[in-house]
Amino acid sequence: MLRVVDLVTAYGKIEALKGLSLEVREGSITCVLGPNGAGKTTLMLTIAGVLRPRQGAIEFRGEPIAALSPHAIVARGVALVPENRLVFAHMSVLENLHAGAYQRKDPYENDLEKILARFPRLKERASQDAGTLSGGEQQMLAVARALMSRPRLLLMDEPSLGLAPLVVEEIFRIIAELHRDGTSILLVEQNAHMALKVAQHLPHRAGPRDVQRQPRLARRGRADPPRLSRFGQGLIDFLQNTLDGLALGSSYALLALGFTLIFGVLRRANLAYGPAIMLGCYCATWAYLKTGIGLLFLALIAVAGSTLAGVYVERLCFAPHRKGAAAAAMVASFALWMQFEELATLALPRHLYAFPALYAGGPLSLGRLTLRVESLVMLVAAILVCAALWRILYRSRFGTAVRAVIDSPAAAELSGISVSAVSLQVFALASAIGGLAGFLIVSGNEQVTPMLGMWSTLKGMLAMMLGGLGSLPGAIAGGVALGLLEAHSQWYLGPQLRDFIAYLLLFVLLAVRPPWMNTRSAY
Amino acid sequence: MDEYAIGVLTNIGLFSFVALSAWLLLVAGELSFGQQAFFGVGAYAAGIGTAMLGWPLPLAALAAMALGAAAAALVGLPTLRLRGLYFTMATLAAAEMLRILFELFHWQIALGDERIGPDGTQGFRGIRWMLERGIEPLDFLAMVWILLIGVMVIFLRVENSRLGATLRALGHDPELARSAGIDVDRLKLGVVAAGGALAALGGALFAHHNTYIEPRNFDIMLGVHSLAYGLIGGLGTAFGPLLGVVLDIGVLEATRSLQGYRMIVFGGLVAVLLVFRPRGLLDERVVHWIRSRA
Repeated sequence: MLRVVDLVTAYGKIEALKGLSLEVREGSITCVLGPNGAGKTTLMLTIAGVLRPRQGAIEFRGEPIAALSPHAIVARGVALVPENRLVFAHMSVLENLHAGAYQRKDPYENDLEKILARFPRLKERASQDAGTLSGGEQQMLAVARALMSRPRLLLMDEPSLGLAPLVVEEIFRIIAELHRDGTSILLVEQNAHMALKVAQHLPHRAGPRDVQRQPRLARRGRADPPRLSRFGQGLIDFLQNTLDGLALGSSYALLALGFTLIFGVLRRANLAYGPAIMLGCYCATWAYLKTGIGLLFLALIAVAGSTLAGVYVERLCFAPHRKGAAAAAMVASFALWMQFEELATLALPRHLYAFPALYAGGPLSLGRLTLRVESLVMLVAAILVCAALWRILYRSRFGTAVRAVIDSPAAAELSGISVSAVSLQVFALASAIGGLAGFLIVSGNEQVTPMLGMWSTLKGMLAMMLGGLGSLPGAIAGGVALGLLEAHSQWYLGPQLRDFIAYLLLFVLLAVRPPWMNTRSAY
Repeated sequence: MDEYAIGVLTNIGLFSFVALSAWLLLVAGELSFGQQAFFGVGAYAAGIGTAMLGWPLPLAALAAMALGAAAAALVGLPTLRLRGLYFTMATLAAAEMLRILFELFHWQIALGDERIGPDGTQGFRGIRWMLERGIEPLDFLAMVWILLIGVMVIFLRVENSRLGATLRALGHDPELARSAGIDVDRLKLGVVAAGGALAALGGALFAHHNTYIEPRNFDIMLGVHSLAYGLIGGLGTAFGPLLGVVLDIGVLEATRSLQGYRMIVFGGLVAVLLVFRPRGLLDERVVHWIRSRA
């Protein structure tokens, strides 16, 4: 459907594209790979008619389009989703979409409805200024706006750039849906790993091969990076997954640390742990929406909010049941979970809110691998919190008290340690760690939803169990192991089996009970 | 009765089954976060029975119960020796695995001009046995409650029997029970299977009440709720979980005007209630007191 032959595009004397040929078949997803500066964006802009090629031909459905102006190319059914989520920031979401349909003479109300149905989040924000959307939402808006022109071919310029993994998944799912509905797609990506991820979202039995790979673009002035063998690409994928898994795992480790502290002291699982974190992050979001204050303050608010919520949970659910049944404490903490969720949705009723990004720039490149700066921060934070916690527990008076209570509450009480006070302080400390983890997660994802509550409790609990109960090094190991497991199984088996495998592993470990999982303690 | 009231009462009946099954395990000393999965197994099995295989509902419900019991026993066998949070987490893991299997479950057959059957995350539509037989909502309500009363009669009889005492002994202290000559493993497996069958019966009815089920219906929220029902209502009698369901669904429905605030109020109230009554409203002491008066 699209044929590009021997294309040369130059800025003045510098040739950004020198003799590129490619073909996009009707109904396919075609992916062009190339590092920064290789001319990916130039290619896109040339096809869209924004840049004029110096040489070569571009044919769309048999018609040469290289000499046409951009609006004439849009009219023929080629739409570009530009790099960096270019949206009309000071126009509403709806106005952006109308602008996308500017060319069309036919009534397009039906299409507008359909597109809003496909992007429910945009529907919720229809009257909001596009500039106030989160990064992922802006990218969706850019896609939706391109779709409004009813394109036969959609050009996408690095749709995953700078987006959180969670959001990337969602964008790729949408791309796969568009492909299924018959739109042809030409995608340029920096990173083969990302491009292959699209393939994961294609319907059953579609392997990565369904994404056509075109010759890589070479970086100007440098040697062409050698094409990788299948084994080589496999190795790169494996390493990239491991890196992603470590990043994910360090957030799980932080969550599990807080969970484990509470469990160690009280021998009780606190179901409201995650919801308290969620509430803290909602406080921060609320403050951000009201005042627009900076990230550091938001972090403080998230930590303080989580801590307060944690203290409230301890006083109401755990302090009264310290000697009684574990079930009552657990169910009471679940009741407060419901309370927190409603509090959060009462203050901020939408299902999803944008949260300011921890870091605005792009990811770091390590050779062929990429690492998000947010992930690096998470990793460092996990290590620092561990070190600090170790100092507190083993080098302070408070730590001695905590360890005494963990060991034997009865003996601690007799030694003059107030178990009640220690329990409260530990709860505050654990919730503060959770709040920090929550802040790093939402600012890394650039969004916050009430689901954060359940997610944090489940992941924290899972990581804690995997690492053995009530041991702090175990919590870290369990978190990292869970992150690695999820990243790899998601890549090879898809998101549903990812969760299945994590639960299966937990179930098998519980049934087999390897030595590091101490089953001595009940609750 | 207006349709709305019938709907609420039917729902109270339906969720009582899964609440009773969680309560049964609670009495035997274990917290299960997994009963929702057997509720789901029952819903899918009965739906397949009536909508796809053309069975009558009673037969489909029996098959669902058998399958629910088998699934619960299968989960129960490797976890029999687990105690406390370990058991709870094992049931949660098993339940989530089953829910993901529902998400991956595609099996549709052509019936007339439509395709019927489970379709992964899209769920399972068209379980219309009730509509096809012309069974009115009120009749269905009666059916649900007659079954529930039947289950309650069995429970109350068991409570006053040796089996009931044995169960409470197990719940109180499994080691002590073992040393008293109780075959703890067999008893626990029996309890687990009975709980699975009970939850599956509720699920079978739920599928036919809703005519549409999806994997999301059977997530962990339902599991924790059914556990909470028993603990709020009380561990002393099988009426406890029923009271819990009535309080939750009934009172929440009655206070629709509080929309947006009610969980803030009720969540706090439940936590406070548990401070004063950690074994629920109808705990053993209350039940004993009532019995001694009667």
